[in-house]
Amino acid sequence: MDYLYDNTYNGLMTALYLHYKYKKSSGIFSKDSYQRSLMSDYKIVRSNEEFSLKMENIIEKRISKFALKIIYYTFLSIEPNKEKLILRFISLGLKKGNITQLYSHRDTLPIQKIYDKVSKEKHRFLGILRFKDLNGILFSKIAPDNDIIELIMPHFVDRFKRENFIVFDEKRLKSGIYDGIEWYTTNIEESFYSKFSDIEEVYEEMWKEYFKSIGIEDRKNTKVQFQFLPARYRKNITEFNK
Amino acid sequence: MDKLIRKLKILAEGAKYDVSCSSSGVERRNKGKLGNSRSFGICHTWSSDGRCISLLKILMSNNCIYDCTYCINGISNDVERASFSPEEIGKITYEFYRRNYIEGLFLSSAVEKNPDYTTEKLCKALEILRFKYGFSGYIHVKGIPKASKDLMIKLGFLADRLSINIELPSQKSLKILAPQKNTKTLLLPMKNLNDRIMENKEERNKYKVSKKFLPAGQTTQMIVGASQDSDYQLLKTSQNLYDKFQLKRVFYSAYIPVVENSLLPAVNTKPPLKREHRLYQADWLLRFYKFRADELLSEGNRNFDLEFDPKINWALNNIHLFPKEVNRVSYDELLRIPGIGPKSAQRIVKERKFFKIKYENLKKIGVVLKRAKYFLTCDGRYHGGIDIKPEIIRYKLSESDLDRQVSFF
Repeated sequence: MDYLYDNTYNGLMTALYLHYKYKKSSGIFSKDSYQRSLMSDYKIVRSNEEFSLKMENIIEKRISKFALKIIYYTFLSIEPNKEKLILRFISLGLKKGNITQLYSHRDTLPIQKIYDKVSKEKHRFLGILRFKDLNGILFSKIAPDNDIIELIMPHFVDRFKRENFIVFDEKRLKSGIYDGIEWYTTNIEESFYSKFSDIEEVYEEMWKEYFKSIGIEDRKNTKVQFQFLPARYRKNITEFNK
Repeated sequence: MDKLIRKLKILAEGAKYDVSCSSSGVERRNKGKLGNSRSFGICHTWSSDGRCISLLKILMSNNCIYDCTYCINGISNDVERASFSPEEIGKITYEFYRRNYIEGLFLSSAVEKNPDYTTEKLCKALEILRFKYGFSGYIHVKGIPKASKDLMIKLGFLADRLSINIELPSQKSLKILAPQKNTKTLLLPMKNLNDRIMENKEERNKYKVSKKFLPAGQTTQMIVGASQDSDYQLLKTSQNLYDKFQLKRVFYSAYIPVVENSLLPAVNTKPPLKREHRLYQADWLLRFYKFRADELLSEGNRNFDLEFDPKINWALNNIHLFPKEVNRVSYDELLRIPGIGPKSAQRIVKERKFFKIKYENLKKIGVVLKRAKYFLTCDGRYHGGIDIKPEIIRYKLSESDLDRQVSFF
């Protein structure tokens, strides 16, 4: 029987708990992307806080804390088969112990690679995310490959603790919001019609001029520039926009 | 505002030949109003020359009383002059930082009036940024040679990192190209700062509340190709600086002729980028692979081979040490195999506790086999397919395109 979860992390953990503690599933899938057919036999798993916590404990104790982090990052990735890879990873871990030390094994390599990719994108966005001053509130629009808002918010909350800010993922229509006290994410589509501050344009202009003048003509190398900053990331970056 | 933009352009132009832009080395949570610092460093954008841009890199002033031959800001050059006020520096940094354009400030300056005057003004700018704007992000400041010790120390309590550029590795070349500087006036302040860093570490162990002094340490820069100095001389100098003053980094900057002078390469000379690249590779070997300068070059062999990287060259010259068995040799020895870096060496060491490592796994681990295969065995088997003779390996290697574009900034 296939287990379908509600696309949340707790839901996935609950499904995993049922799989290992009650009855083995034939596969775990996200409810939204599941392809139903006449032959398929499935059960919708309801998110359960207690089961989810128990599953986290099992992974932490029997594999390692880092394994839990790897699994969380994989859950946030766009990899279509992520649930299958997570199952294989945990199954091996429950047999072998701390398999995060194992890199090239067929059940760990795919998930290690996804973890590297998501970490890399998270790190990248700490740098390439741009805020605009929206009458005192800082506003940022991003379109990352993976769902990284939760991963980057703590960094900006500490860095800009006296500001109020919004990070809006335009692909997922999801926002990370910090109100000066705490942060949370929401899927409600906020409308940001408010005008940018007048001074905003001045600093953007200044930054663009600065950016232009630091390139050294004798060392021009746009190939390397593209390697570090692929085209798909450029549309929300101030200095790459007219 | 247009005037401010004009100033920013002039003073960014004057600072861009300083290659260092790293913001790494300090982990600090936001202790003020704005900003923190991450030990791994963050790139915010990449300029058209492919360099990582992390800091707002500007000169406070390009109005210089000195006349170093290689420098565009020398007093006898006809360039447009400008100076920022400390408040302007604070404000621009603050506004750029809020928008996440930058990770912090890299502030340098020409010697305006005299070294002490300049250093005091640098202190003032940093004080405004730290105290008025409550800035807790990263600051790298340039030390001005011949400034008084007290002022330098004051600067060091405001900044995360300080650098004094040696520019040239020998007294002889300094005399020719930068007559107002000499090795003593450059090295003495570096020594003083290092002593103070050490002292500060002890203080902080004893009293937790002590203020931090240059938590990200010191760095320096040398110009490559403006003088007659060899790679051996440059690398030896770097090694001494790492050993004696615990420098965090030495940067190398391929000289781009900006002024016409008979003592220097002509203005249309191409910058020696390949040579600079080899020096960065060698510097990497000193810092992360436990190599010594004398293993890589010698009096008889003073410059790097431009065709092969320094590690391959070393391996070919020491072929009697190879092949090495990946399932047996220590971490340090793994690092000596061309094509294996710290990351793949660590993975090998971890993974072989579980299983014997097979040749097929090496590639997945991240080993660059087209280089490594000639220098290792896996479970006793050699996969190079040719005799382990330097000239044959050299020939094989030159057939494959080895030089990937790597950036060291």
